[in-house]
Amino acid sequence: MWGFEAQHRIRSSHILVINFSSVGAEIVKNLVLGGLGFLTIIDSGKILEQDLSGNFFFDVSLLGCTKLDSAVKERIQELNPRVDIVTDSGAWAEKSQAWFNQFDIIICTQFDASQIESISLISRSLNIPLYVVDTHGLYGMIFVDLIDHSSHLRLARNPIRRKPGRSSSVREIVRVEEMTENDVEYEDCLIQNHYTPFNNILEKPKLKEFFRNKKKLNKIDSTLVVLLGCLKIPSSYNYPIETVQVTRFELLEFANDVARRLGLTILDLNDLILQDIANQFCCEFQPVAAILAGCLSQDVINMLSKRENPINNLLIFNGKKAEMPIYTI
Amino acid sequence: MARDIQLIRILGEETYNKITNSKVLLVGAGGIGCELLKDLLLMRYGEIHVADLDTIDLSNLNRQFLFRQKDIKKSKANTAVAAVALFKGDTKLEPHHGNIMDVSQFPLSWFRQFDIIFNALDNLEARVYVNRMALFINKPLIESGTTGLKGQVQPIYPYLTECFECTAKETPKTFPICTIRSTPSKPIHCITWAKNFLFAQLFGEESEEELNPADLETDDAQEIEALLKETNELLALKKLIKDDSAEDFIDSVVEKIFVEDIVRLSKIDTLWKSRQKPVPLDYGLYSKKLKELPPSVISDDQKIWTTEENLLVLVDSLKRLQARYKSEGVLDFDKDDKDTLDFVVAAANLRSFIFGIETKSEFETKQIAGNIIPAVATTNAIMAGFSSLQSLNVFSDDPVGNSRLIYDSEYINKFVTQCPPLPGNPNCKACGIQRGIITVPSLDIQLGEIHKQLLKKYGYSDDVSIVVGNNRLVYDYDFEDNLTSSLKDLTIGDGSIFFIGDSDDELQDIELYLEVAPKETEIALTDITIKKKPVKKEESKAEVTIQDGDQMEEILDEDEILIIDEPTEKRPLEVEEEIHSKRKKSSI
Repeated sequence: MWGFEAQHRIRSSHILVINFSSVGAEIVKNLVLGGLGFLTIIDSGKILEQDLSGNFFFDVSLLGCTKLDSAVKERIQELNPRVDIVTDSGAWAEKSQAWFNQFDIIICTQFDASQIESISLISRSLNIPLYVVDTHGLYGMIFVDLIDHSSHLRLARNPIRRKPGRSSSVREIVRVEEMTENDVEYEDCLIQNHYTPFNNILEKPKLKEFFRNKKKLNKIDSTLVVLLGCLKIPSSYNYPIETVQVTRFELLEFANDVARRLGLTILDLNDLILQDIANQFCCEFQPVAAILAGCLSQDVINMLSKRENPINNLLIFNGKKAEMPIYTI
Repeated sequence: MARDIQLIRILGEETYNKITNSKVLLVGAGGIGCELLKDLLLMRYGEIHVADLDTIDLSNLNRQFLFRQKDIKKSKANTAVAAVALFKGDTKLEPHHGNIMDVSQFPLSWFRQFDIIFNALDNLEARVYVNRMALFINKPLIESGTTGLKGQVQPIYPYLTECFECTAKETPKTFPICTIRSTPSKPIHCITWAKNFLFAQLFGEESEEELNPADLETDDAQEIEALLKETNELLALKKLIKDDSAEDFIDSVVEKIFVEDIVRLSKIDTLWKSRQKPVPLDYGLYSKKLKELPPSVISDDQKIWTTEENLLVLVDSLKRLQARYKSEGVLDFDKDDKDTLDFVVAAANLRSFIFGIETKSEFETKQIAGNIIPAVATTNAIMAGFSSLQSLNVFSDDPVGNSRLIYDSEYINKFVTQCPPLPGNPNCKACGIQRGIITVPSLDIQLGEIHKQLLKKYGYSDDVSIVVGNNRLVYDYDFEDNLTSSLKDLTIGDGSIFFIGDSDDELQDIELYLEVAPKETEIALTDITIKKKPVKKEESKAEVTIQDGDQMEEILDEDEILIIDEPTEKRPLEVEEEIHSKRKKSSI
């Protein structure tokens, strides 16, 4: 499907997955089935009863074991014996720069803002593409920082020929070649994507570049600001969910801080999405994990195959409305 | 329960309890089915039945994550259910290895036990069938399908939303038989010929079917005669596989397929007026060169082989296939079976060479022969996730209003395109008429009794017509002879379908599924409100409008890369295996 060269790149890649959460397990499944060469998973947590409804690699007999117990590793390996898998029950925060340097891609799940800040310092300094995915019940987001990425897009020929040039501050067409294959005419566009480091997404927001019309900017669903607001609350991953209580008040404050920085509508306490997400903060839900992990894994494959236009740079998921907008912020 | 504390937070106690008390049917345990089964289990559905008639194939393993090497040739439904035992919790699971369209194994009464039906099927026929069952029993059906990176999920609430048959489905692309057999012009024609015709004829099951000249889509008498002769000779050749030595068998195959048949075709002048005439293979010349070639070429799947290299691979693969045929019997083409793939690649390339068509590497041919668009594990996972999420709406206070149709998106500013379900197409042949069930205690009941009940229950005037099955009229105003006959005498049985038409054109027509329930004492009819027949209007085509359209436009103006064509109306897509099975069936 991806072509020989792409498959080769996938086979020779070494990917790190931090946190074997519900969405982490789904990503692992997809990548292992997809024929990835090398995979390292790190998680220092233990299997709690609540994890049994969010992770299909776990069962009752493993309660209390580490999430990456040897039995779990065996189950992952069964999916594809050819993948070289390393599991690590240590803490990622204690790992050295040299340890991170062995990876071609870093994928983090259920991370908060301060964790993303630390990991992106590492990934930026080592020039490693970074993916972050967080889920909160029926809601979730994927943040992508590929630093700089070029890919070929094969597009149907347009009446107006595409021309090289910058289409926005994050994306440009470097070259356009006209081609014909099997009697179908198309244009092969070499696209360059530039990414904003995590630290700058709220400092120098780019949203207005894509929503020049104020009215349309105001129409942006509050899921975006609430989910970005959630990042300010320390991640409760690996904690018993009954100890996790996020109030609407604290979340509202963080969400409105984001809204102000992005120039979006300020929310009030009665905002339904705010209520939902506060209530479902850090909860894992299998279908949502499957969708976001599928989406992220596909983007990783696209990125490695250099064939499609990868996500640049924030995907927001609202499971109630079945919406998945992608914003550049 | 501590285990499901997160679920309860997300869904609320009430919905959670409803889910744990629901019984659902999952039809299909393939790419989407495996994913869906896992999702439904971890949502804690109370009881899940899984039906699939397929067995596991080697090519399934890279995406159907519940299956392993050791499971090959085993039932998909049974294996999937066994594989999830580990994390199934309290859910009751029941596998059914069988064809969902088999009325004796799956009568309508069996379908009635389920609260929701999930379709994770790869063929049109079964999807249409399950759609009809859902209409008869009036239960929600969540449809899903994928092709490569494309996919869709369609929640169906009978008579409230569009059903699966409300929009026309694209049929897989097929080629006229004469293009494949006599006048190929593209690599795909030669690959189709090698895989579906030559390989199947030589190593496949003996086909009972005779070549029907009408299927050839040509009027050229000379061409028809040539093709008939070709087929007969091929059958004779097949007999040689078991009896002949490898050398004789291979010589006969090459001589016939790439020399004699081509000579015969090239003599039909009408075919070559505007086409390049095929040139028979100079077998003598090339076979001499074979000894000089390194056999290692067979393992180089990236290289475009020369004519003699193709011949070498053909000869070598024929040897291997003949040996296997002698010990194993009938062989099936499998793109992951190197012996069968080698044969198809070499034979397709030699034919391309003869007809002056570009040849392909083994790697490329594998992509084409292996169903054109391979299934993608991530698309299956995503669409299965949406299918399970959409099922939550069944438990909400406004199922239809909360539901969404979901499609993949080709736009850069969203990952999926979604819209509310559309109302049914009034001209739909499936949900355009009301459906229900007629339950009888036995088949000794007289047709007249049923006729009487129909008028009483639904308010029809006496002027109705009753048609059974496709078009057997058993009653109308001028044809009362059968009223005193029993259903048994009229050969009407369990699963028969009655069509009731109002000859006065006042009330809508209905369709009733006959069910025999010996426990009942009287005839029972489903409660349906029969509406007045609508005044006929011109056919209007339902259109999917894409939400967020205005926002998209704005970005489109500014970012040229975004201009990617996306049709405003997308039709649900059929899955790869569908195309595969259709091709298999159409014996060319």
